[in-house]
Amino acid sequence: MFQTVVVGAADSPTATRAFDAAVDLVARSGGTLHVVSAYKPVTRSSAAVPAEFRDAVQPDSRVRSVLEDLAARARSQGVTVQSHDQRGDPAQAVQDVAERVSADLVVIGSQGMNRRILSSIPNTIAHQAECAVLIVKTD
Amino acid sequence: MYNSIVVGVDDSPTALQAFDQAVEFAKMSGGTLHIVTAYKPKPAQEAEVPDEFRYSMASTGAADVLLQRLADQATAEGVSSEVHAATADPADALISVADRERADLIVVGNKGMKGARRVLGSVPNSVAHRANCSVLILPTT
Repeated sequence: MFQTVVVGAADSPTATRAFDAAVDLVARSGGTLHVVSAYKPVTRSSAAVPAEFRDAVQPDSRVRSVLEDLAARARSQGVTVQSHDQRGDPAQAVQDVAERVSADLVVIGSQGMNRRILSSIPNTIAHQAECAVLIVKTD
Repeated sequence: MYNSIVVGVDDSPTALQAFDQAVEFAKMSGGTLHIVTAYKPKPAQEAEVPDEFRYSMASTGAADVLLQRLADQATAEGVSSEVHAATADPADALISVADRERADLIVVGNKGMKGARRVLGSVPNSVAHRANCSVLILPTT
């Protein structure tokens, strides 16, 4: 059960807990874990930065290093991993990847669910996903 | 992974579909499955019934039959289970059993998560917002 699992990645404690739950699950189910990171490109501030430091503030490199760390952690548990770095809204990015890879499960952290924030990422995904959704308790 | 899993059921095809998947999940995870059904007693009918027969007039009987059948199904799959019948709102029943049994996961079908009922509040929506543990929402619609 659950052969194609999509999880959102971010370097916050809540996202890490959701990520660990997804790794644990895929380690048992024997499927593939798709790790998605989304960010909004920083256009205005990067223009004001000298060229030699531009890499340090560009989110691309940071996103990639977070993704690589997470992927390495999952692989150390024997899990097959595919990373996806996307631009744009995190909820949309997770859904886009879920649709593209025909996911049977999306794993997300619960942050924002209890405060009933209508636009929270888990809420948006829970309502719109075509597949199963695991909301991991993280707050 | 998940030691105490709560699943909500009724006798609808979508709920039974979610139950099948919950059994499969519990089998993979290795935990105990707490099978919960909620029903509304019929107060008008009950008022005309002598006290000593009141229990048999409520839908306890149907609930118990359903729960026993599903518990047997779990056993057949090698999953240990406990059953809980509650006369409460389904979302309240799921959350209170989950709290009492220190559940680490609640499994529900996604009925009512999309479309008009989303606004009014569905069982999976209430559970997703109010649960004190993780929630797995399964597609059944």
